[in-house]
Amino acid sequence: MMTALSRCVMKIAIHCLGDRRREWGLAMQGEFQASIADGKPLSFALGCLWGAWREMPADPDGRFALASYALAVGLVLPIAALLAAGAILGFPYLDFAADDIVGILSVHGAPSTLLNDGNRAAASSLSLVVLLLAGTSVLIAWAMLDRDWPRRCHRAVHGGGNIDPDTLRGAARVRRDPHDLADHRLHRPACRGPDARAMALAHRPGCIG
Amino acid sequence: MLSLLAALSEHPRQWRHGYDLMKDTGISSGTLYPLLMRMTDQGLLEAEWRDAVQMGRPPRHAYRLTAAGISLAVSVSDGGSRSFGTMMPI
Repeated sequence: MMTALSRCVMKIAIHCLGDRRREWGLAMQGEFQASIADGKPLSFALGCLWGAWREMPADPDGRFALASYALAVGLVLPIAALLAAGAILGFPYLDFAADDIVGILSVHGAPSTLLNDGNRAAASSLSLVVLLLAGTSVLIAWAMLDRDWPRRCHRAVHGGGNIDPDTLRGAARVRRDPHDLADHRLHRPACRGPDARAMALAHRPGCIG
Repeated sequence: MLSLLAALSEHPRQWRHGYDLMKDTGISSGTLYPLLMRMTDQGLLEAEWRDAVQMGRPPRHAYRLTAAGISLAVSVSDGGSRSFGTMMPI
């Protein structure tokens, strides 16, 4: 149990380090096995996570991730909660008095506290739209934090155009680093030197991680 | 930071693993790895991948001081800790 939890923490730590520090994430992963053998995997993993968090503000990708989390958790999700509460409880601008959500969503259920007939007629559809907006806000927050744009683009264009996800990933990589263009055209791995060796070693059959 | 430099300079040409350095110096992993990253970025430390001794284990990163790192360690041991502090902003 402790080891499984530590592995989860290590995965988060390595993810937080991002692409620029990927080699260091693999280095931590390599030492994690030593910490398991030493009986202190959780303290080691938590330390790595703390170190990765400390590194994030120094890295452009890390700053972007922190800003995304701040925006999603600090703004988008609270807005979604406010919208949902507004639609369900009538706060603060959809004052449906004592009627519940089922009554509000049914066309004839809108109570007489609404200002006029126009408002009363729009109450059900407006409530539905607000609820949908709350739901999609959660999805927007998820997409912001997931950041798997190649997969999302592939889903968006699937059927309209047969685009290979690897092509999209390659395009995204080339956009980040134009020097990788030659590698992408030749279908060669983008990493070189010690990083390439680390990746090759780490992905051998039988290796943990 | 000084203890890490001291541990690495004990046997300057010997490659050391991160976990061994943690145990030798008492530095936590959350402090050790940012230090190792900074020192490598500044050319004080070199890193190399080593195959794991046991089958099925991932490769391990090993570290040792570069010539610049060794000279810094010597200057620190000679009492140049002030200059060390200015060279290694953390």
